[in-house]
Amino acid sequence: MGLFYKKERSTEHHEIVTRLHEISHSTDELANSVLAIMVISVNLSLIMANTFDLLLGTDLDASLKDLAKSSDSSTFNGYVLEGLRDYLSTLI
Amino acid sequence: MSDDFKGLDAPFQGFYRVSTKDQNIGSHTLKKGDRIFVDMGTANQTEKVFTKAATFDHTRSFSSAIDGDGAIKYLGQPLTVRIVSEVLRAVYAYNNIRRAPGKSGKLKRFTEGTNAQYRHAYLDSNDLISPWPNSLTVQFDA
Repeated sequence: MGLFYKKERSTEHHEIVTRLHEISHSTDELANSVLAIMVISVNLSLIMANTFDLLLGTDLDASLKDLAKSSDSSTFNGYVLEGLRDYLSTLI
Repeated sequence: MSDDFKGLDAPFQGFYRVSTKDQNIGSHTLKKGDRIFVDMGTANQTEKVFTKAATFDHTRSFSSAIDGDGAIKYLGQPLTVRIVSEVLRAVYAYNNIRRAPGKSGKLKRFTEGTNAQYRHAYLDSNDLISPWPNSLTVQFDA
């Protein structure tokens, strides 16, 4: 395998685990944190997909495209919050 | 406010809980062990709390919404909103981003009637039922 992987591959996940290890008091706490991140990642992907589907192609498109390129994140957050109201809860 | 919506259509309907003690919640009397269904879909879209609840109003206060179990509970609302917002801002920053033509540009989901908690299920790339959204193709100008 070394023939194919001469250089160490990206280790972003290692960076996350390293940082969590630094702030965790035990292996159990570290494991719980990693599991929580995994669950929340799924949760967030559902929120993003459904909010994007809710908004894309509506009469809000022009405003959202302008906001995406501006530094005004607070107004964009209002759209996300209303998307969250639609999304409600993940129940995972 | 936008009226270009047929009404918000929540992906999740609610969740079950078991009362751990005899108690009164609002007008409801619960005994220990009673199983209740928290209908978040209705609660978050009721006209009693939200003016023109079925319309999309990005200036509306979120404080009266019920967030249940999920990212908001574990990450907190500010971080959850920031993560989602930053990702969607990055997607919307693509030039003239729009849905792909036909069915490919629609999220393949349908009403799921067998589970009271989940309102929708999705179709994956093999058109098999999945609990996760798989396919929504978009286009943008290079």
